Amino acid sequence: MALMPLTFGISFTFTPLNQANALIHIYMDGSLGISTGAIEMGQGVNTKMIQIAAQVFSIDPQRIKVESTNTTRVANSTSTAASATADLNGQALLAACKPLLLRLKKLAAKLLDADIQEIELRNERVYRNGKVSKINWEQLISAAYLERVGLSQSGFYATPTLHFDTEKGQGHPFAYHVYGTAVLIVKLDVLRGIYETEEVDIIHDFGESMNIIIDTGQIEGAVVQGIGYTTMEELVYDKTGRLLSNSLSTYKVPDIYSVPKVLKVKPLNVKGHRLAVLKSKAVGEPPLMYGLGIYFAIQNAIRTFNPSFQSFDAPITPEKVLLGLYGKKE
Amino acid sequence: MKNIDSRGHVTGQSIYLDDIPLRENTLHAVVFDSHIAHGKIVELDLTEAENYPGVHAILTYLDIPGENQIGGIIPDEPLFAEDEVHFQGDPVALIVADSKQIALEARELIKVKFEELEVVTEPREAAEKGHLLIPPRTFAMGNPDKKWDNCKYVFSGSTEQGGQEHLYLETQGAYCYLMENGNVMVHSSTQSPTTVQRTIANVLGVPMHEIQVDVFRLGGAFGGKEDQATAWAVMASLACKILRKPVKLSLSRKDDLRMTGKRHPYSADFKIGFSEDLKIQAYEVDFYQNGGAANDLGPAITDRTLFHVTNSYFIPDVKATVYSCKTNLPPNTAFRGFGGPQGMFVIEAAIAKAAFELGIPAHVIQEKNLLKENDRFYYGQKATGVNIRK
Repeated sequence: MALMPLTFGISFTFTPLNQANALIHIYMDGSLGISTGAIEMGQGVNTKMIQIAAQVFSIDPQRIKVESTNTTRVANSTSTAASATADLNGQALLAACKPLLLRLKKLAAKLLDADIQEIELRNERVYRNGKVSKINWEQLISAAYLERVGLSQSGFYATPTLHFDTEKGQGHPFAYHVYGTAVLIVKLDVLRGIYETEEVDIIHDFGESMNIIIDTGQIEGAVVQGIGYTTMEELVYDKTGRLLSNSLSTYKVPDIYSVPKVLKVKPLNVKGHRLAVLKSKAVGEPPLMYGLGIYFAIQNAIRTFNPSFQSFDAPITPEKVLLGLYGKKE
Repeated sequence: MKNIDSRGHVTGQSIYLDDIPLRENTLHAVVFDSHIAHGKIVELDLTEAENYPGVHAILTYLDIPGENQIGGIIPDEPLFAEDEVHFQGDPVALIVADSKQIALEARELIKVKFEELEVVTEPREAAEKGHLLIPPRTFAMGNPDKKWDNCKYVFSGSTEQGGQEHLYLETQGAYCYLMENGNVMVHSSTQSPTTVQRTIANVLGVPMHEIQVDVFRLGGAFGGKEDQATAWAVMASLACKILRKPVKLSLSRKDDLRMTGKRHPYSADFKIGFSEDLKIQAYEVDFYQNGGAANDLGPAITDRTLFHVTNSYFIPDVKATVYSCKTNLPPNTAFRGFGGPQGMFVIEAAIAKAAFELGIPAHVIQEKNLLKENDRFYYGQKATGVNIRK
């Protein structure tokens, strides 16, 4: 068994990269196309972008399409990296949504002969003073087009509070930190040196997760990737610089049998951070590091058989485990 | 809300680079790379390969109209080797042909003579020889050297960590075609469309607005396509621009594994000191980062290692140094965690070592030293919203 606490800073450590742009078009039929600098690579960022826009306008997510990431629509984008993509691009998207929403509310106020403070968009309808009006989303957009209200908007975001003196190595490089702790339990076969991950229990600080299904999926995948890194994924180059682990028959990645038999992820009940988009903290990279704990769990298991075992040489492959079980102290 | 892509992924209808329908007359490119890890190119004979039926051109650095340079942070990485190769898999030329098969066959006909030079693959050996990619980088708070004498327990040791292959399901690739007035449309499997755009513009010697990069989705990346997707898009657009035909370059799995960089392997030495009640008083660590043959994103990865050397613990006196070592391996690159895991592993190893020597469970030491609200990280930032103890 081993415990693996985690603290991971969120932001690009090169401060200028912490900026993003977004572009929204509302088409005259009430459907939306949104563009950001975020790249969808399986992590679900497009779903999160839709959630953000749907929440702002209080419309059916089905009305929203995420466009490709294209340099002619979103220029000077920062890489999709550093776990910060949903934060940066989500905030830029919010920055684009807000003036659009304001223009639409202004129009609705005019149409209903009301004050803008009385207007709210809720469930695809215009509400006035908390009461549903006769205007729905499609009618509002149609009216906006006829009244020549701009239905396209770009937005820009630069993470506030960040500064860092690279020469001194001092400053405030991160918008916030993600925290958590994992307990990892392994079972070791002392005859063969092979091991199985019995259980990984994680308490994780998601902030206020905007999509717990996607975020939990990110944690599960990251933990397995971290376990792979620490146990079986062994890159081998020979002395001439030739990659020997040059195919999937010689480089072993986790398969379904390597997944922990039990993998529990419990969200901490906390208030989200104001710099996390919709207070939902970044989730991409941090949980990979829970997987590092497997090294120390296996090491502890070896020591119950060979108390003198001590080595810090990752990945801890079954070969190394077998040598550790029967070898002398290094 | 359910992931909007779940149905597309499960039914195989999501569209990746290889699903883009090809235009008529699309040519296919294959990279000819170095089979030795370090040496001078004495002779490169392309004649037979160039004359192979179906081959349109074989491009080298001599065909580049702009700058032969793709280094992201530090300009130390040529697109194509000029007179020297630095790792096995180092691109030397690009074969452009009617089909990928023809290009692969022509690749076998390229003859190259090298004068072999010394190969270094281990970071500590590189550091001893003074082969560093950037000057050593140190972050510090307080001064551990003044603390050791006052510590009740001091332990030291070394760690090794291997690299990691990204193994994105979709290999690296790009597809380019010309628009009006020589403008280039680029579909690239990249995490960094702007980097791809900027680098193509620089290599072709044109303004950025002549290059349009479009990315719909990636079949995984994990950092492997943050910097290392660029070269292939640049090569394809170079061929496209020169031959005035659409060009597709999609790496086979074997080429991808051989030519691309991985997570940086690290080797480290640590020293950790405790008070009698097992509070960590001082921590010093030297990391030897195996950078491969060029910086790539190494300097940023170095910084993130430094930011995470204390993981979740408060330590008053810390000194950490990273030596980015130049070796004859493919330039190592971003990978989920970006140097963080390498920093964290060593402090966890140091705690495990102390626990072993003291004959107590590691979690006793871990718990005693967890960050508390408003503790200062050694790089100056205060820890806030610390939820780790809950």
